[in-house]
Amino acid sequence: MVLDGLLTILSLKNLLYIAVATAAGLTVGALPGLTATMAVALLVPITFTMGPISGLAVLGAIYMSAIYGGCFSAILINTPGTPGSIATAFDGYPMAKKGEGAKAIFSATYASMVGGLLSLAALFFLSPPLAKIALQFGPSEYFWLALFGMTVMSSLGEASTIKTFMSGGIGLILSCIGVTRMGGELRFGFGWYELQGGVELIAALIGLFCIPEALNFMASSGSSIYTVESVKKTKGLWLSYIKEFWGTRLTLLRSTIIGIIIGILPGAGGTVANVVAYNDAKTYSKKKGFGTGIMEGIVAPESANNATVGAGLIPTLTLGVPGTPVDAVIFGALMLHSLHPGAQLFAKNGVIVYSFMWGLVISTLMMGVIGLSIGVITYKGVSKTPVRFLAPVIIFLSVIGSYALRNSMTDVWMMLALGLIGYGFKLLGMSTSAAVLGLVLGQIAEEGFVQAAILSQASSYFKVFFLRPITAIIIVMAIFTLLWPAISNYLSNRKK
Amino acid sequence: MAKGKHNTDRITAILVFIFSAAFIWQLRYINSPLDVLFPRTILIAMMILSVILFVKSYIRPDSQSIKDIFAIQNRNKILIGVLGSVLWLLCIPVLGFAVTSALALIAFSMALGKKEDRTLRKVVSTTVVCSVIVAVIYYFFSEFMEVQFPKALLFR
Repeated sequence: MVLDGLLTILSLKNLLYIAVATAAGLTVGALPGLTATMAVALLVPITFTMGPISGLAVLGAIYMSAIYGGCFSAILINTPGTPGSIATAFDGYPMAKKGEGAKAIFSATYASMVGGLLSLAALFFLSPPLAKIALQFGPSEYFWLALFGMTVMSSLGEASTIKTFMSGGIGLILSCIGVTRMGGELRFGFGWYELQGGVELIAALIGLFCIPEALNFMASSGSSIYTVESVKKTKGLWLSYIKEFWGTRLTLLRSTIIGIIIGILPGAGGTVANVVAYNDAKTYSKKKGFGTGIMEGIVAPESANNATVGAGLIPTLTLGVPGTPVDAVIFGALMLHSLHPGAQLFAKNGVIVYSFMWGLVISTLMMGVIGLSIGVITYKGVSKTPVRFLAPVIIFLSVIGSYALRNSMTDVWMMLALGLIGYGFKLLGMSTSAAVLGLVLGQIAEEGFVQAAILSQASSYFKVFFLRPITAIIIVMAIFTLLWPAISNYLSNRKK
Repeated sequence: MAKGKHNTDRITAILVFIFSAAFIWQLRYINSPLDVLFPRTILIAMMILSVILFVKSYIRPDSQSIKDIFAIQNRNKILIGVLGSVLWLLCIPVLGFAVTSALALIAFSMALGKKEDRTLRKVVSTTVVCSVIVAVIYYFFSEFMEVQFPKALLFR
């Protein structure tokens, strides 16, 4: 059945569909405000006319490449195209500023490809056992997982430790704005009922990253946003990239595994995975200089976020439990084609499901060619575009992108307000990245915290929060990550 | 501290304290204790951190945090950026998304360019480039992504 699936997808028509969908997904992912969910949802009715095999292959290709496409804007203009690329900007943008944008795109492309392919291998071979592990995760595990993600704040290095945690705190509080989970009351509304829906994550992301950057570009006196000339193409340049990439293999593998584990957990996805993987790489990698534009800082988040794609499909296909909004749309598309996710899916419609999975593999491979070409051309274009055009275009994309999220001008005003706050952060030496992390992880943390607190009323608070096996492992990992810089300093001092 | 310089740590501490106090005050309106617990814990932690930062700014001031925050390079361009963006959003309900955006892009590009570049030829080429950029992006969002833009008083 696996081979039948491959043979079915390998028609010229399907390959062409996948190539076009991969290019379209890259564009959507690269534009701040356009999400993979939005693109996949909009294409469901169109793909319905294509038949199940081609239609699902197109949706899968859009999904995989949109998650990867977020790295382009993160690297080129310090604005993550998707929340899954937040950590990519930490090293990607400094690398582009050094004139090594092509190297950054190369690292992100092949890390995404490896992450995507390994997660698809997990989808092919490890679906049933991994899905069972995912079901062991309860509210307290999610709470501690979010806290574990937040430990990355301690090592961001953008601001002093106190200011970084304050910035993270502001992000966490922003995530609390809106209707409360328990009582259904408006929290932190300050009399504005427009805030009932809370702070839209993508609008906040666009505002906090795009607007300060656009204002900085405006203030810069240079004609290009990159202060350094692009590295000249010399003989053996790409070979040196490949060699350096091979040197990151351990980080790549570890980050992919992190992406797969987090990907199969309902609700977490690439947003959490890329941050946790970056944090892990920074803690355990022998390389120094994270945040200054090193390859491992790009490889870790990019492999992790694409690893969540295949992994997220594991509970969707095997248990009928979609973990992320995109998985839910794919779930709906499967149902539209009369395919019912769950235990019987592989037995009853094996050829279609395997052709869908092979379609994802082909799309991931195509990313290596299409993505790299588009990325390098875009980098050259951005580096040559005069600032007087680029800065207002970034603001225009921010306005239109934040409006498109919910067709709401409130989101646009919120984006601009947060953008100005983000600029204030820069002036005061606070950390925008920490605030965004707080905003992203705050929702998961509070939801887990509240649900675990309710559960603890039936048993014991200590038992629910600390004594569950997975919880204990995550707590130990979080403490270890927090203490690791001090331990490593102590050990290196002792060696000397 | 030199004249015109500010201790950004102290300013941050004061602002974060006020922010936290304002948000804690807002929690009085929430009835469910579980909805209060998480944000209150964070806000209290932020208040403690701001007190620590405030005290530290006097006892052991960080030399990197002492700077003139208003001495921004090309301050006028930043002001143009901020005020222009606000005006842009205010004009959308009147002129419509596409027209406002095209005008804003042209105005920004001209304002950010060099003075000697403001010739008729440059103005025409800038207008054409900005209009094409807006048209392509607007068309992509409205036709392909099916985004419903708000109806304006004068234009769509």
